[in-house]
Amino acid sequence: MKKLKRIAVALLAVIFLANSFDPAFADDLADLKGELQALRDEVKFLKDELKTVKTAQGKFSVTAQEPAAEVATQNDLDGVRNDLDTLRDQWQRTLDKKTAQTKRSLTLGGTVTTRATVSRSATATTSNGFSVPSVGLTFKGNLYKDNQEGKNLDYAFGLSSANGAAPLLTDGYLTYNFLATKDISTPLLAVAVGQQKKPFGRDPQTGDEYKPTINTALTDTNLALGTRDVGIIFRGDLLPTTDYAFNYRAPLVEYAFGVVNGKGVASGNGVDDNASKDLVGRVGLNAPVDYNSIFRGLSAGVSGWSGPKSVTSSTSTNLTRRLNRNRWGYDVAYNRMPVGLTAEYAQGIDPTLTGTTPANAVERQTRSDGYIFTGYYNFGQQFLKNKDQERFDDWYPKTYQPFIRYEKWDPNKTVSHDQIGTRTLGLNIFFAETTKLQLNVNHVTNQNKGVVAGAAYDEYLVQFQYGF
Amino acid sequence: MKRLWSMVLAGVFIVSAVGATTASAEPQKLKEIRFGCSGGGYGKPFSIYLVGLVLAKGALEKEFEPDGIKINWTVFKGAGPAINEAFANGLLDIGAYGDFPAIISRAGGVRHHLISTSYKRTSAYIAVPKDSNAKSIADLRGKKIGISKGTTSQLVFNNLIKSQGLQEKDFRLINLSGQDGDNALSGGEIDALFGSTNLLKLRNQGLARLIWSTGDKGVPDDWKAFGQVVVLDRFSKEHPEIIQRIMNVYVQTAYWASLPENRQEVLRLMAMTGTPLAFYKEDLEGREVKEIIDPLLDPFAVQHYKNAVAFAKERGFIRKEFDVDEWVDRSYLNAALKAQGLEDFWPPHDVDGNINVK
Repeated sequence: MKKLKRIAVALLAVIFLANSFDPAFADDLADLKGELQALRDEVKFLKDELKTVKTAQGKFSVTAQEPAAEVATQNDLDGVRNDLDTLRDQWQRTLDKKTAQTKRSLTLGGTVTTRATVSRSATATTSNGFSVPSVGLTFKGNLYKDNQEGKNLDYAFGLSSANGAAPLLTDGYLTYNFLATKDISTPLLAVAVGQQKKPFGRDPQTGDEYKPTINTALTDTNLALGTRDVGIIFRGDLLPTTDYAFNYRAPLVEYAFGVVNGKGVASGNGVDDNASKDLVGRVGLNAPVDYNSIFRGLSAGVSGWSGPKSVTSSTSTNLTRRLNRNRWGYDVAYNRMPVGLTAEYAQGIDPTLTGTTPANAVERQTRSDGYIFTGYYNFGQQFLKNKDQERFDDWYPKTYQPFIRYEKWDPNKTVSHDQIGTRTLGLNIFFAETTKLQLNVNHVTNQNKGVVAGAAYDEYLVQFQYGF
Repeated sequence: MKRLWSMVLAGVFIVSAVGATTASAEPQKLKEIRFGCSGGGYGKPFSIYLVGLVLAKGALEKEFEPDGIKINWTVFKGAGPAINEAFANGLLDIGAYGDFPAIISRAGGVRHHLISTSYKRTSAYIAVPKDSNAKSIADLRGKKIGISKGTTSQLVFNNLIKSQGLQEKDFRLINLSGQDGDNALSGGEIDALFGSTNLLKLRNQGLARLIWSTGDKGVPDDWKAFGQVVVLDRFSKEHPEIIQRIMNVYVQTAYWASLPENRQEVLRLMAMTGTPLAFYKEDLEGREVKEIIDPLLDPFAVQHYKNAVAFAKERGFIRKEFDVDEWVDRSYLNAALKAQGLEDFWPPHDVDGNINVK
């Protein structure tokens, strides 16, 4: 700018000197003033222009580091198109030849357990050594997906083999959600039709991946609480307490009820042996509190299962009657990470029949019961709901879960000194997303010393359980 | 009975022993800093804005390497709720995430303090199916809108509809997030989707049309989302010097990111989350990075959090309000700004968002 001013002043001086000797100097003075004004205007214009340019440069400097745009030619575009076509063909060929396909969405999964057992029981020597106690395969997926509200129609199919026996159908059902599932603040209601787990108790419904102990509780096994059956079951809840900041949901009331054959699925895939059906159900209450409440995870429930079964006389196969079998139980739990405490009681009434003819038939009932207490503590993130992380590798947070369990099973309440108690001390180590190493020390006490030699004994079990 | 008690005692011993190895040792020497943040949703362990830059540049690792202190980053797929859950279960020391979930966790009793913002004034958009006739939020009255409830999006959405004299009940809000929302919109199952930069992807794919964004003229800055760094009280009490060093690194990185010549590199590092660089470029068009990566806890920022707390209470997300002024702890930030001579680098804003108020 200074240079411009100097040029303007010099120009004026030259003009002034050149005209100072002219007789018409006075006449030209007015013209000079006009030219001076014009020059001033021009300088002002140039100043403004410069200001505009500087402002524009300032703005431009924000993105000055961005690379200059390059113009693609038609040949470049054709090249990209050809590359895309080639890539598409290669991808399609790979898809056709190397990829398993299904008609609908499918998640293939399963669990396998491999176990080593050392038992000090005089009668349990056959179970010592290595074994593969269970292998399960599941197929789950979606037949109709409701993106808007999540009223989906899902399917599940599963097979399981225990200790190398022929596989049995475990799951085989369809589930339809009547109510929206997308929003955690609304109640849920779904129906499941087919072969599935009965809604009884807490421990019996827990999947193997979440059970702390290696052995299934005697109460569950003997009362067949965790078995599957064929029927129709409604599951839902009411009055959920929600906390979006933790993606947390605790319905005040949870319910499940249904009608099943009552035959079980151990043979014949659950085809019923009588026309009557069993009723089964559970109602649970959860503490209606926020995520940070000390009472989060406090819950209680009652369960019932009743129905007739075909009972054959123990003294004659020609005598069969339809007699009632009943189960009921209650459970209380406090699962607030990292602590977990559960207590459960179940009682069963099973009919027995003796006699050879309807005239001399004698019907009796055997009343049995059992209770289970489990306490554990988690060190790690395995049981966080939102534990999924963004990572390049297959890293997974290691979790250690020491636990204790005490169980008492009374097979016949009218008979004394026949109870079996099991105390378990264990440690579960989750070292990969779906894999855990389980260590259990069981101390078993059988009061019926007349039946089992070595009525009290210890048992050491080590098991890998892995899912895929 | 003796046997039972011996087993119980053994159990207690195991619990104590494992606990001792995992939870103690802090008073003697800090071995790791457990830092949580939200991911980009593409499975890559990177984040966005200030925390994303600190993570991508390995700035904290460089700071604490001489002391043998490991930075244990956890980049959660579940964003705010996941970070809250980890905080509540004692699995994080410090975290950087969105305003709304942090407010809810604080109101719920998680004892942490807000020590710096991580981003300010980020964008939100409304997308409608490409053949929709809707041109504004008013046209969507009575229609189905997908939104991720309980997140900052809901707060921004409420600011928008309130300005139009509308309420949530005037719409059919459907709780949708991530891919579910994209699918529902592109499948024509909802009439609009409220979200962030992910909606630019739907638009570019020709599946949606944007009818509103926080970048539109006249949209107040306070409507836009804020994110912040919060530190658990337990950790800051035990290791105030560590928090100070973290904040020094934060401020240093924020200054670096705010320089115009680093703009392209900032975008590149944020694109490591998997979100295309072009989306961030469009998102920040016409704005300086300095406007967004501004760590100041000025009256404008504090008022934003106060408004958010009031909204959360009004909508029932929290049962009781808390004192935001008590929640905010400027001591670490102010010390870091002073030490680096950056006290005047970011202009403070008053409660209305006007610059130059001390």
